[in-house]
Amino acid sequence: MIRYLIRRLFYALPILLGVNLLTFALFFGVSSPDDMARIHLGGKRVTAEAVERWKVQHGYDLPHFYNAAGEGVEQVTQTLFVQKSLHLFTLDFGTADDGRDIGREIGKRMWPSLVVALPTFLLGLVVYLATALFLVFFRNTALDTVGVVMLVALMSISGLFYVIGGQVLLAKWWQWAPISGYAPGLSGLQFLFLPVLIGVVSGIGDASRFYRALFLEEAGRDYVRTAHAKGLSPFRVLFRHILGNAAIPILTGVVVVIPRLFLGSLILESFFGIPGLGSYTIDAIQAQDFAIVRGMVFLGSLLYIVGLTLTDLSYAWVDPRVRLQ
Amino acid sequence: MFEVGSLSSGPSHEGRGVLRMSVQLCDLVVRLPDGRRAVDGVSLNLQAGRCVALLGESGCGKSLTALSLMRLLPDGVSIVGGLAMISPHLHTRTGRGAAILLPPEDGVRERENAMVDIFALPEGQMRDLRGGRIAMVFQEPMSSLNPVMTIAAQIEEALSAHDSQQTVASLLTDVGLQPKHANSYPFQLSGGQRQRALIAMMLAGEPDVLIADEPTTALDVTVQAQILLLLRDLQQRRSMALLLITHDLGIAREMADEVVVLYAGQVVEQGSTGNLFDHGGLHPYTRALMQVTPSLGRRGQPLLSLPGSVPLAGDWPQGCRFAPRCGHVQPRCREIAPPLEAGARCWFPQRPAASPPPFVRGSSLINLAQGAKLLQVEDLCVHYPVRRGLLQRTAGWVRAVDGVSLSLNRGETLALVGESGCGKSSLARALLRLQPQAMVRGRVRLNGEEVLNLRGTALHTLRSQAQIVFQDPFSSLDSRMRVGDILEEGLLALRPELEPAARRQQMERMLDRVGLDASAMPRYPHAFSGGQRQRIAIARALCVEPQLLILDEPTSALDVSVQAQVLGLLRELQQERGLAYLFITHNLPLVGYFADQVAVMQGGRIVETGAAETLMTAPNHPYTQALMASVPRSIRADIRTG
Amino acid sequence: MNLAWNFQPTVLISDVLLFLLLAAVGIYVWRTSYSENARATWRRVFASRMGRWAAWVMVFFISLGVLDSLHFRTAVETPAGQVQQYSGEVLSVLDALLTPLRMAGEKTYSAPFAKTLLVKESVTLADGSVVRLAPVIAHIHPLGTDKVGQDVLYLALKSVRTGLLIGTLTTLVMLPFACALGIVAGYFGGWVDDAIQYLYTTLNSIPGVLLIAAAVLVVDVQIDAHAEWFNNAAARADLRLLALCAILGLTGWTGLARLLRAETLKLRELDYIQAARAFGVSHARILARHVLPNVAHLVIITVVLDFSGLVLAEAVLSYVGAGVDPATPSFGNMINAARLELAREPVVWWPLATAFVFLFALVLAANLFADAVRAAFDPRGAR
Repeated sequence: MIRYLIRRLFYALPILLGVNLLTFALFFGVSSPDDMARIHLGGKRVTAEAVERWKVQHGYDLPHFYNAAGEGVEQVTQTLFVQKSLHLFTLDFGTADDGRDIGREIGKRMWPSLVVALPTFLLGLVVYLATALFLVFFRNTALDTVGVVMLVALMSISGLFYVIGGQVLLAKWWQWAPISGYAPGLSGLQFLFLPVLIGVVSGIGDASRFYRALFLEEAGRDYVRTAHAKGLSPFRVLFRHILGNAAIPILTGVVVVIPRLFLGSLILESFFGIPGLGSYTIDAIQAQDFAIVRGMVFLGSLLYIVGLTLTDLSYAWVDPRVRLQ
Repeated sequence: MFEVGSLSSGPSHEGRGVLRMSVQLCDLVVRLPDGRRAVDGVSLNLQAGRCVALLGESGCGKSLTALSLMRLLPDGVSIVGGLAMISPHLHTRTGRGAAILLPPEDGVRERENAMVDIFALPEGQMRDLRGGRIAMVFQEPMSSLNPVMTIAAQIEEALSAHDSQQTVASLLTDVGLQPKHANSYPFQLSGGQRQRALIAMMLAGEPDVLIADEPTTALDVTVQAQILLLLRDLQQRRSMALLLITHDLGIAREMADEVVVLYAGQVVEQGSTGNLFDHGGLHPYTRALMQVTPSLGRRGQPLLSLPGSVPLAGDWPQGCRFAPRCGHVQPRCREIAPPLEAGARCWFPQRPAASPPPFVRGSSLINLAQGAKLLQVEDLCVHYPVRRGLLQRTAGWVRAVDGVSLSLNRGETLALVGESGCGKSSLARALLRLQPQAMVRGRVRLNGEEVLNLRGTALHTLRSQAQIVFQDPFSSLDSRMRVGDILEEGLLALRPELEPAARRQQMERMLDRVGLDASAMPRYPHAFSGGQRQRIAIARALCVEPQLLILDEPTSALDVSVQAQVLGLLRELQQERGLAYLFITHNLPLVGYFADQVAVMQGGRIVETGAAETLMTAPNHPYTQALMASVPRSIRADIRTG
Repeated sequence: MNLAWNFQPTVLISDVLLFLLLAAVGIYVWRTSYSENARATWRRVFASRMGRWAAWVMVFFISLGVLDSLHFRTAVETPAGQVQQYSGEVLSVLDALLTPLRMAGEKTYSAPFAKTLLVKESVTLADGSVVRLAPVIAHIHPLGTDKVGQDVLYLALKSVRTGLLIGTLTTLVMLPFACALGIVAGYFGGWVDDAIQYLYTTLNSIPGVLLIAAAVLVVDVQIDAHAEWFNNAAARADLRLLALCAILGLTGWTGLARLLRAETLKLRELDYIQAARAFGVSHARILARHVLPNVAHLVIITVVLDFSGLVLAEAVLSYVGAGVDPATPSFGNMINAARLELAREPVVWWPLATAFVFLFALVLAANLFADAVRAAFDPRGAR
């Protein structure tokens, strides 16, 4: 198992390196530190000195890959690529434009994100699977047809409307919960109600339809016919056989996103004023703070790769064909 | 109303009377989603201790008939007519599980009233019937088992569904599996073992009726015989009724007490196995089926060739459905549909012949250009690397072909016989230079020229000298290209110097030669039947005028009646053009009929070679003997007498 | 006022691409009409009532988009003898058709069919007294007006083009990458496959919205820095829209590529490809004649399925601040602006409701049409 994990790690490195190069190319190749400085200093009428001063202040006054002024190793290390990009591998995210340490900010903000994202994810999974199983149980009936059309209608509504509609309806008119806000601990539960509910409802169309298709694919397989031929009840066939086999593709989709729950949801957090990583990112995008965006891109990829590794492990856990080979 | 369930179970005493259910199927009609009828009035009688073979070619409705009895038809396919009456039936031979279907009160006296129609049962009771009274074994052992449950768990489930007193261990023993297989997953078992496991599951509810839908078609020949033997043994020990669905006359003859022949959704002939095979069938279709099957005994004779192919479901001619293909057709046949009378659905049933036509043992008809060596293979190896680890190091080799030597003369047929995975197809692909070069070693000479290191134009020349016809006529033609484009592809690649007019002429000539005409060219492959597609595939290969044709199971996907046509065509072409055939197959009777030389392949090596006649009658190698032993006895007898 | 007839056609880049796309669809239809197979498949699409209805709704929206893509500039009065001058404002045929709506601007909010503005103003009456009343408005607005008094119906109709362009031009960018890389990876295998898989795993590992947002930020900086590239505001907004499509396309090809790779992996083992190889047909020809036509149904299904997702993505991206130019009429911008209006007293609900209805109709029709297409092209995977 340890050997397996180490091997996975070796697969992950080139991918992270690729992400690193890609973001570097984007932020320092297509765009340049001079452009960055100009945005932050405001418009075109900025003197060259001011730009230089800003770059020195924020540590952007270095060459891209090779520093002729440096000595020995510093020729390579005292460069933008190493300082701003490769340093991400040590989870050193640098400082934001407002001077705060991004790493510390991430450590602080990931918990509110998780507090909202985890219940949304778990509750969502249960609701989506239940809906899909329900429709599959009644497949080829009018109930299924109506259900599918409703799911298509639900997935045709923009996520923004779910949030806005939920806020107006549930919070403003019916006053079921506060319209937005966040508090740590138990007292914060009231704030969780609305974002979690809306998060779950907004995904129901897409996810349930996807799971339904998975279940239907399994339901058409030969072993399901065998199970019926043995005289099993339709419930048992559905839950033991169809669900048991569909669990494998479901798992691939589900496990991979678990680590990313830390990143939170951009829309939900920004609408509900949750001080998580989602709202952090959205603020950074709107403030054009490239350092934060860069850090979040790297963190997102890292968490995705952790998710991929977890997926592989979970495969071995549920699929005997992988486990026993 | 009725309780469907076990009244008493557990082993019963020898000779004690046991109630066994029988099934009477009357006038079953099954409709496809688009409204066409696939089964049109089929009646059957299944009785304890008897085996009925439902015989027919693809698309005649035999599987749907079986699934109807289980009420497990695919979505959208429905039973629109007929009855399937079940009744408790006193059976005195022997039996293990004694289970009955009875009214709550003592119903033996009122058994006439106890008749129940399966098609009218509520779904809840139907569930008790499935696996409990009627069980079914399916064709595909690979996909019919749940891949993520152990064998024991899957059997256990069936046991508890029917409150059976049997145990997993006893069932495994019954079907010839070992206790250690209980905790295996399906992927850890071989095809034959999986089929045994499936049978064990189906026996869990101690059924009275077992339906086996082509239970051995997907298995290797040597395994087929074992599974058939097991089924017959179980049927007799448990005095079950067995409905065996098959397209193989030999299997039917060996297994069944009664044979029911289906054609175009109807029963065309019905009778006891002994009678039917003795007189050779009353219905012309049955008689034809018996005469189109190739065997060593028919060597050198042309097979009876049925024109056309089995009509599609619902696409049935007026009058007798067999009339368009019948050799004895009369005007009346085309107008009025005959009823099923005296065992056959025919206005002019064939009188049983005094004696079956004598099979003249002929020598090979081919005497053309004998002796000239066309293909010589020496010590050919195809090894696939197995890659492992981070850097994809080669950790080992799969020796698909491991030192094979062969030779083939002009105008001759060399049959390459072996079971799945023995390396036949790897060998064929290596000869055609379709394998990556790094995996192939050895010497292959065609017309004296070394094949394996050809490049450029010389490789092109090879490609026009050696061509291939594949097994599956559906995947061997690109469904998105017109027949004309399919034929032209090879000419464009190998004979680019030809003018368009000359190309077209060549294509037309070849189409004509295989029995189609130029009107086929603008059409797409889906407009043709399996046999016609195989003709197109042959024409495609012939267009570039090869000398060697590799035939990779060219008829195993075809119905037997169509197989005879294709074999006849191949034989004619060989005589005309002096073609050499490398005939890859697992069908031994076919080898006996068609091949001059035989090479038997096992595990990547050739274990025995020889002239077809000697090798078929007196095999030396144990593996060849095992292969021969797996051919149903009746056909074997035919080989001997022939 | 016959100025309207005196105009100069103006062609934006997105117009060119849109018409190229229409031409491509036209060629496809023309070729399809010769193929029995493809005709039968498309007949299946329109056989279901749902598919037919969805198609009609889509045709309606597409016509709006096409009318809105025929651009021109009107002439301005120029002293005789001088070279004719044209207005800096770029209009479309749709604008011309909707002139009554477009020109009927108010000062600020008014409810649907209202006779007065929503807010009261201090008005000095003839007798010198000052009263607060809501001014009467001159025009009827079936869906009201927004904050700056623009007709909401007009805005919604104008937003359709943006949604359509994002949904279609993105696939135009994505298709070459997805097809070429996916098919090549699946067909050749080996190190080519490894390299392409590495590429798309890397791209996939970056959270989509973040990658898009980052790219949009960078492009914005470039556009801001090079104002001299554009001779009018329309061209600038157009370029931003195209940049967004390009970014969505460049980041979005991985899904289809993966699908095509898997399918090609299966196809290359099929007998008809082996038969072609046995004839010595070149790889390029096999890819073009055998592989591509046999994966085309997957491409069509994906393009149609992706459309609705992209239209919805525009709204979210605009909210995040990585969408189209704020001056471009789009559903995202409409929702974004209307969000705060719900907190007003009295509630201004109509811009949001209009955006909702239009966006919902467009996406629902696209989704239903996609379902019909999938059912017809892939009977096995559909339902």
